[in-house]
Amino acid sequence: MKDHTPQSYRKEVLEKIAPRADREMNDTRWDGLRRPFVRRLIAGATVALAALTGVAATFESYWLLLSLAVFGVFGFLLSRVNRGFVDFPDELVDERIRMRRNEAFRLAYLGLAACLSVLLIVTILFGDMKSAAWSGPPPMALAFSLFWLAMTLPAAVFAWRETQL
Amino acid sequence: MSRMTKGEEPEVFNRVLVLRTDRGLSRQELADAIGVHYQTIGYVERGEYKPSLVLALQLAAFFRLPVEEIFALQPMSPLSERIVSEKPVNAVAKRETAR
Repeated sequence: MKDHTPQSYRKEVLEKIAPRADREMNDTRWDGLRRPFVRRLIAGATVALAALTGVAATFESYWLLLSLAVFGVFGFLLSRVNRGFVDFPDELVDERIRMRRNEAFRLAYLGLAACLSVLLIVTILFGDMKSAAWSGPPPMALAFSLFWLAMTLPAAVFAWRETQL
Repeated sequence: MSRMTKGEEPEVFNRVLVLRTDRGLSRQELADAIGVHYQTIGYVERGEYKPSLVLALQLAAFFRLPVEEIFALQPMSPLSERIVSEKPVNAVAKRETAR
């Protein structure tokens, strides 16, 4: 009889992902992009593009689509450069990679929290808090930027910090 | 008792590189046998990553050596020196067992 517990389901999923994880983690085709300078350039560009999608969201929709397309390309390159180390479940990566990516997640979200704190302080100091109307950046722009930043920052920090990938 | 901070953590020395090359294994082969990524073996060999007790014991089991022969808190003497210095002791031990 088939086991339907969450553990058995997870095991099944892991077994399905394992061959792809193994392939991606040992993929040498992208080694040219894994040199420290190129890697940092991709990480920096991805973060900048993530923030820019918010700016693009305030213009015509084709600007948003264009920025999302370029951001998508860089996001793909970043995941290749990182060998999927940031994305695969804990069971499929070894203890060193788990430790390094935990550090990357911690730093990324600390940085994001710090940026949001600064934004909040600026809004409190210079915005009109008594007015019912929002006086800060357009909410859609903020939502876009924050969403994509939260999605990509850990991978970018990981790619930036590693001595060898 | 004061807590040790990460900056004060002692350095860990190891013989993984010597043992691996001595057995003619690539990093990938050793990594596959232990179940880690091949870069992790490189990090351990260069002393850039201190493995967990589990990984250290797995390496010891793979090389069939006591873990303290692979990892130490003091710089380790070359294995060739150890062999030369231990030879007379082994010879005496062999003679005694022969009797």
